Amino acid sequence: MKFETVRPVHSLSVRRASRGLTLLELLMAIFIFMVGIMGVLMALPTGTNAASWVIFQDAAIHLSQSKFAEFRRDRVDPSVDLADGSGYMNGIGTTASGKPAGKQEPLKGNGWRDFAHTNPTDTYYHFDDITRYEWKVDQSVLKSVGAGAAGAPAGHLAPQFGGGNALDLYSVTIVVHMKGTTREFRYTQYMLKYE
Amino acid sequence: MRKSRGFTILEMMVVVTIALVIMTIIISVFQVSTRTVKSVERKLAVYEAARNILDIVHAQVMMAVVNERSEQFSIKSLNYTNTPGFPVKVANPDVTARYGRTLRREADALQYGVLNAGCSIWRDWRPDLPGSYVHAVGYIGMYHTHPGAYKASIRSTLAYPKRDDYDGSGYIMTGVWNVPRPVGELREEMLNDVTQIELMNVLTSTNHESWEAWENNGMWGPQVTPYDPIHHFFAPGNEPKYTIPIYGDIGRKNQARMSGIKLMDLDFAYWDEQEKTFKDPPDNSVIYFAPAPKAIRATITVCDTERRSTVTLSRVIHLHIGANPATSSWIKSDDGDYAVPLPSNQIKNVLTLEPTLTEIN
Repeated sequence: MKFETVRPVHSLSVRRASRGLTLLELLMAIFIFMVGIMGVLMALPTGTNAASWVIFQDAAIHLSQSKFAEFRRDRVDPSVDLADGSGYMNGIGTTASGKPAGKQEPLKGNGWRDFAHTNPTDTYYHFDDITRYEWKVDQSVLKSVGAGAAGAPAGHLAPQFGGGNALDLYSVTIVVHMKGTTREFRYTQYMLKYE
Repeated sequence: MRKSRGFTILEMMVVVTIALVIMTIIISVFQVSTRTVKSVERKLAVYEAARNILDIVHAQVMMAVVNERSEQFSIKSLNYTNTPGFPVKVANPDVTARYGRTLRREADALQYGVLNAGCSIWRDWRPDLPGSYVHAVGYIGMYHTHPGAYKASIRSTLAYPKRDDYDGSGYIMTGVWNVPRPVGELREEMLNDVTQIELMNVLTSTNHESWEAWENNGMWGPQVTPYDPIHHFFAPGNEPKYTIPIYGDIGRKNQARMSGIKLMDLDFAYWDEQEKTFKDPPDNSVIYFAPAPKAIRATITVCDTERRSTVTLSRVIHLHIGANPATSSWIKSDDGDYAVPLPSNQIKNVLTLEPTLTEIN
C-alpha cells in the first residue's frame, strides 16, 4: 500500500512575514483606546445626574406633601389664602377668615420661598440639605374647578338647595425648585375650601 | 518580502511613557468618578428607604380614628444613647442635634385606633369580608371572629423590641420553647449596632381573640372565647405596649416589621397652634391627646446597609381627626395621678408607667 504526502493548500511558508507595528500605528491605537475610555468616563456623570434627579424628587415629594398638610392643618381657603399677596402667605399667622394658622415663609425677590430652617424650632430645621430647596404655589394654575351644578329646571326638586353654587374646589400646584439649577418638581392636589 | 525589524528601544520608551501618563490620568479620573457614583448610589438608597418609611407612616396615620371620647391618640417620646462608632465616634456637642449624626437615638411610638374587620387565615385581606383591608405594615392577626376595630401602635423596635420569631428571627429567642430573650438584651444589641433598629406596627383587636392552638380536628382554633372589648379598651393607659411573646398563635402574628430598612431615628412631634411650631413631648413622656392634634411631624433617620451614609427627613401629616390646638392652656403638666384611665392632654412620665422601657442587659 502506498501513502502519498498531502501538501496543505496554504502552508506556513507562503504567509507574509510579520513586520510589527510602527510608532505611528501604536500612537493611533493608544488614541483610539483613550477615546473609548473617555466615552466610558463620560457615561458615569449621566448615571450620577439621573440619581441626583431621583434624590431631588424624593425630597420634593416629602416637602410638597408637607406643605399641603400645612395648608389643610391651617384650614385655608385656597382661592384667598394661597394667593401670593395674602396675609397667610406672608406670615401673619392667621387665615383671611381669622383662623389661627402657621406662618408661611416670606416671598423672596426671585419669586420663591425658603423652607423654614433657621431655628431649631422651625418645621424643616432637621431636613437634610433643606437649604438647597425652595418652593412656591404656582399662581398661574391656582384656580377653581367646576362651577357647581346648573340650576335645576323648573318643576324639578333636585338639587335640593338649588344649583349654580360654586363647589369651592381648587386645583393647587406646589412647585419645589432646586437652587442653582433648572430642576423643578410640580405636585398638584385638589383642595376644598374649609368651612 | 520586507524584513521585520521590530521596535527600537527609543520607540518602546516613548510608547511606554505615553501609555503610563495616559493610564495614570485615566485611573485617577476613574477613581474619582467611581467614588462619586458610589456616594450618590448610597444616598439614593437611603432616600428611597426614607421615602418608603415615611409613606408607610403617613398611610397608617391617615387611617387613624377615635371613639366618641376622642380615644386614643398618643405620642410616647423616648430616646436612648447608642454605642460610639456609627454614626459618630463621640457625642455631638451640638445640643440641637436630635437626629442623624449624634449618639442620641429617637425611638418614639404613636398609638391610635383603626377600623378593620379582620383578615384571612393568612393575615391578608378577605375580599368576602366587608371592611377588611391590608395595612401597609402590620398583620391584623385575627380571623376566627371579626372585630370592628383595632388598637394600633407604630413604633421603633428600639423602644419596643420585637419578641417573637414568627419570621424566623432566631436571635430573639433563648432557645427554650416560647421564651424570648429579655427586652434589655435585645435593646442593647440595637444600641451596639443601630442598623438592627426597625419600624414596627402592632395591631390589637377589640375582640381580644388572644390565642389559638392546634386542635384534634386538624385545624387551628381559638382557645378562649372572644369577648367584647374590656372597659376603657381605647382609654389612655390601655394602648398596646410590649407584644405578647409566642402565646398560642395570635400574639406573635399581630406585629410586623419593616425589615431590611435601617431606621435609626423615629420621632413624632405635635403641632402647637399657639407657638406655631411642632413640639416634641418632653423626653421619656407620653401625651394622650383628646382630641388629636391638628397635625404631627414624623422625622426619621435611615442609614445604608454598609453604615456609611445617613439621611434625616421629615414629613408634616395633617390629621383628619385632629382639632386639638395643643397650646399650653391645653397640654398640662403632670399632676402625679397615674390611675388608668390616665388623664388626656397631660404630660405623663412613660418610664413610671412602663419602667421596662429603660432596661438594658
